[in-house]
Amino acid sequence: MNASALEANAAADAFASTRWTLVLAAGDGEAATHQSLDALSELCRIYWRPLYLFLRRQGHAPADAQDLTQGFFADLIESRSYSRATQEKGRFRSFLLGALKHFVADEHDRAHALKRGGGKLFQPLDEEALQEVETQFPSVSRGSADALYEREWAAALLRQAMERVAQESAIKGKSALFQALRSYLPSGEEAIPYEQIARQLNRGIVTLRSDVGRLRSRFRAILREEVRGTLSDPAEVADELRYLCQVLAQA
Amino acid sequence: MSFSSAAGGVCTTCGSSIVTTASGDLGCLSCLLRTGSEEESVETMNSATPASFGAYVIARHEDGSLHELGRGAMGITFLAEDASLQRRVALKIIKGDFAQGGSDARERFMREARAAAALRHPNVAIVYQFGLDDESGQYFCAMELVEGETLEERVRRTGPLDLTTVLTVARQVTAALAAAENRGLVHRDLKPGNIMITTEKGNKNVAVKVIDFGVAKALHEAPDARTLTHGGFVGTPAFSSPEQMQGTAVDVRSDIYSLGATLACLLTGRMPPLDRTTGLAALSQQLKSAGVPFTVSKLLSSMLAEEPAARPGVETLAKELESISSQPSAGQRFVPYFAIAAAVVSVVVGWFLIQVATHVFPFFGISNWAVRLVVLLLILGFPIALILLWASKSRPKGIKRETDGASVVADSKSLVVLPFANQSGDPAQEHFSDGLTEELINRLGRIRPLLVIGRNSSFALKGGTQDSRAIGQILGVANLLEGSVRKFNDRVRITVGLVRAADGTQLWTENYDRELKDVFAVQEEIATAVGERLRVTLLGPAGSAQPVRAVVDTEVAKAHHLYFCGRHHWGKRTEAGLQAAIKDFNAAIDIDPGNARSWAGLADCYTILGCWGYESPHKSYPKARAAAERALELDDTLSEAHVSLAVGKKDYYWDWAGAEQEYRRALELNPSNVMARMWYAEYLGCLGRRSEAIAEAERAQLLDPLALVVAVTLGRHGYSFARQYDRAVQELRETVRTDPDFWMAHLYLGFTYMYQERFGEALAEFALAQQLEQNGDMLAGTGYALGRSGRKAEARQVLAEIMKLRRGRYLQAVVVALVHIGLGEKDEAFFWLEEAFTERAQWLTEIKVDPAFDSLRADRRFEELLQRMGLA
Repeated sequence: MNASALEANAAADAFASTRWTLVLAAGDGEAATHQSLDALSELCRIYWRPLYLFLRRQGHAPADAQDLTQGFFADLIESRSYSRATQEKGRFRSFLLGALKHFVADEHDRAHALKRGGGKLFQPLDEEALQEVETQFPSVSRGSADALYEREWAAALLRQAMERVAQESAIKGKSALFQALRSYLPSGEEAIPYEQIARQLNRGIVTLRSDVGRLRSRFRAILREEVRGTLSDPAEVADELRYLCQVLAQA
Repeated sequence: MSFSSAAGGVCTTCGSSIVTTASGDLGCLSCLLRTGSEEESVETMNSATPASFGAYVIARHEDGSLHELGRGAMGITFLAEDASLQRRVALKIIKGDFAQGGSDARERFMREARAAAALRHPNVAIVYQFGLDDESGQYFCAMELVEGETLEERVRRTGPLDLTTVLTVARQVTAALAAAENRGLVHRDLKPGNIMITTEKGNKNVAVKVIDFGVAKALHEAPDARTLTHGGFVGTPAFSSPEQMQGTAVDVRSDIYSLGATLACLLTGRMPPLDRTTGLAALSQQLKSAGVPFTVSKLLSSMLAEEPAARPGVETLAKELESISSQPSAGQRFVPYFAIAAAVVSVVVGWFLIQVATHVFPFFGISNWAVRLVVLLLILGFPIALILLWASKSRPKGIKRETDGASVVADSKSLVVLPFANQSGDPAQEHFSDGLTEELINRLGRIRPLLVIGRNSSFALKGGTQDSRAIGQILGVANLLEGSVRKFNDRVRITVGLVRAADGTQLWTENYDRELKDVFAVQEEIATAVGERLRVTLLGPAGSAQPVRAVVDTEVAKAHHLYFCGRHHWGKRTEAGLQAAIKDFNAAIDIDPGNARSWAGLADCYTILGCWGYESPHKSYPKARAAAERALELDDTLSEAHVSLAVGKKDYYWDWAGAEQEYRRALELNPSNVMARMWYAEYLGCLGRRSEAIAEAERAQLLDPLALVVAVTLGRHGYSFARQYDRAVQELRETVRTDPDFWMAHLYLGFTYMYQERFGEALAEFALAQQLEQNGDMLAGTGYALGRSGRKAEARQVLAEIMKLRRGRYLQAVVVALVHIGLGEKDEAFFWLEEAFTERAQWLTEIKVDPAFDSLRADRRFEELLQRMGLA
């Protein structure tokens, strides 16, 4: 398989742009399909950080927060509580936080999930990533727990989009180019030291300008796909992006 | 990896703090998300683009690559040549596969395109042709090639532009918008990247041309608009109007919003904030930091108003810009007295020389041609000299600042006292330097015709880094008084300097080494010296000012400090703040019972307690009056004391004539007394003297541009009571943005929304105010708004809560009456208004004009009530 085909496949898989729709569709039926469970698992894998930090900000100790996050995902996947939560279905972001609050408040659910051996259905949280999050916790812990959750949600989204652009670049053998340009994605044209990078990568400036343009274009497309994956109505992508811009502006 | 945009935790691109998250180092998340949110561009079009479109052939660089001029969300612009006419053009290749759309859609697109192409104006780049390339199915737009650079490029290259250039740009773009409006055209994507600027060689004049006129609108009508523009949105988020973002109908006012955002960007060198809620506050700060004059900031705020109706129209905008541009700086208008005087002197001197030549030259045998030559030279030289003098008009002398056509103050004698720096090395001594600053503001304010900026604006500059010119422009003052205080043991060294704001020239400087107990004498000495320097005369008869106590003991200095602490707490306008202030003023009086200002401060505390219903008026106002009268006994030239008495006369005693007399006397004694002007404006507003109220509140704002309490008075007692709701909302929203924790701004904004029947927004504002301060007014507004919006059960719950509160403490009866008005229960409302009459509730003084009481006006009981209050 050549690089283009690999990229196309990766894009097709990763562009599970209706992940949340798939989950919701499964919730309406009698049995959850593998596809919908995979979609939910994938969403949880991407967005566990905001939930974990929300719990930490609420005062739960690291071990408790880890257990609760783990137990919550297990309960979510096993009990298919998403099929009952109709009001907040529109946005996975809102649904997830509402469900977590409910889970934490309901001791029975919590005990039941832990009794079932929470986490069996959900891949355990990555220890290294947890440690990384714990290191960051003191510097990110400000404002309300809800505000922290939304801020981290936006960051997780951007991180995911950036990781996917990095993966695509690696598939195309352009890791060095990506590494050289990634920090300039949000910069104005004037701020990009084209000559310096051109020398460093032995690449023409005109080509480099096109590279930057392509990289941005790809990042935009992927970010939109990621956002779309968390919404039941794809038409709301622009609104969600605008909302997240506001969240960061208020941080 | 380090991100180029991050410098010391602040993003160098957007200027906001870098948000730290647990998702690793992604640089400025706001910028990254903004980049991701932008419309998909046509980055890859270059390689796939054919070299010619119709008659237009795209130029190439030496290396064979296409000659690109710029790119954006809508397409890429290339340098091209019109092969048939052999002229160079800018060719925009528009992204999108329009050939797939239906014929109707294509026709709509072309119709819009043709409309744009018909627009001809010196400040609009001509659109030669909109066309469709049959081969590629791509649309293109051939435009006049404008030499120069876009404003975006200019700002990137040089940083923020100077005010003169920005105003020139604003005037020319406004002219372009006026021409477009006449043809019913809207640009929809006005931004620095779509305005070309050229500077003529050897000439500083700049000319601008708006490019891409009609492209956005045409795209909006395009068959594939949703795909092309994501949900049909066309524009650039940071510069787009709220209605454009919401996808509702837009007209020229949307372009005016975009122009406002563009001008702000040019002045600050930064992209406008995306977040509309907090963004304007940030922008306001950026403009302030950039030294943008208050008049310009205010105009920009109006252009960026959320409601289209609150923005100026094209014609008004043009007039406003013309007016500002004709003023050399921040509303200053030069009156060439100097040149006129010089002309008169020249005529006299010329006549004298001719006389000398005529009578003396023959005596020395000098021929007549010499006399004729002298006369000729004088005649020729006179107009030349006059023109040169006129052009030189650079002296501050003779400059007048004018407002509403009436001369308010001699601007060259305007002054701001900057907070004195505490150089004692002991933060605990900060109160001493602050106290000195306050004292100077107060004392200098009494000197006529000196214009002294109020304390709120002075202290807002504390710790700031703006240079003298920026401060001068922000506050509209010609001079700055700055200084430092160094305290060591029982001695103090005060250094004072007077600086000309325009160029930072030090006009005068002096050191004062004194024993600490001489502080009042030092203050008097400084005030006198500055006054003399500014060539002004002291106000009033000798000895009318507060007597100088040359020697006072350290206990008195302590009382002095307590007085300033009291004023600080009083300024918060919260119940806790007022109680703390009473404690401070009483402590000051205990130490120094002869200090009239402490008594006036105490009076003001009781006044506000009664005014906001924190205490029964029967308890608070008599105490306020007694304290005010005591202050006047001690010093009847103290402006503050007259104000204290005036407010009580208005609020509680309903002695309207007496109150006005006191206000006028207060202003006569100290024309710079901001509180006097502000409360006088409130008085005028309550009496329905609308234009006078607005004018007085605006004068107060001119004196203290950064004082929030003045801004909210202008909003409510000025604009709201004059039923100018859009202006009120704009003023109050701006105040909320400046300080989201100022509860009065939320309350008054809530009331204004309530008058506009925007009950949802009103309730939100009342809730915010309630979070910040517990007050009956918020409950009144909430109950009224709930009742009026049909949520009667909830209104009754609020009513029950009010009644419960009233059992435990004083809560003015007008609060209860207002909820009944909201519920449509007139009899109950009148019952509680009668109660309020018995209580002498302060809110009653506003019912003559307060729109909340409109539903009762036709009832004879209302008229009778007004008559009994002397308000009919």
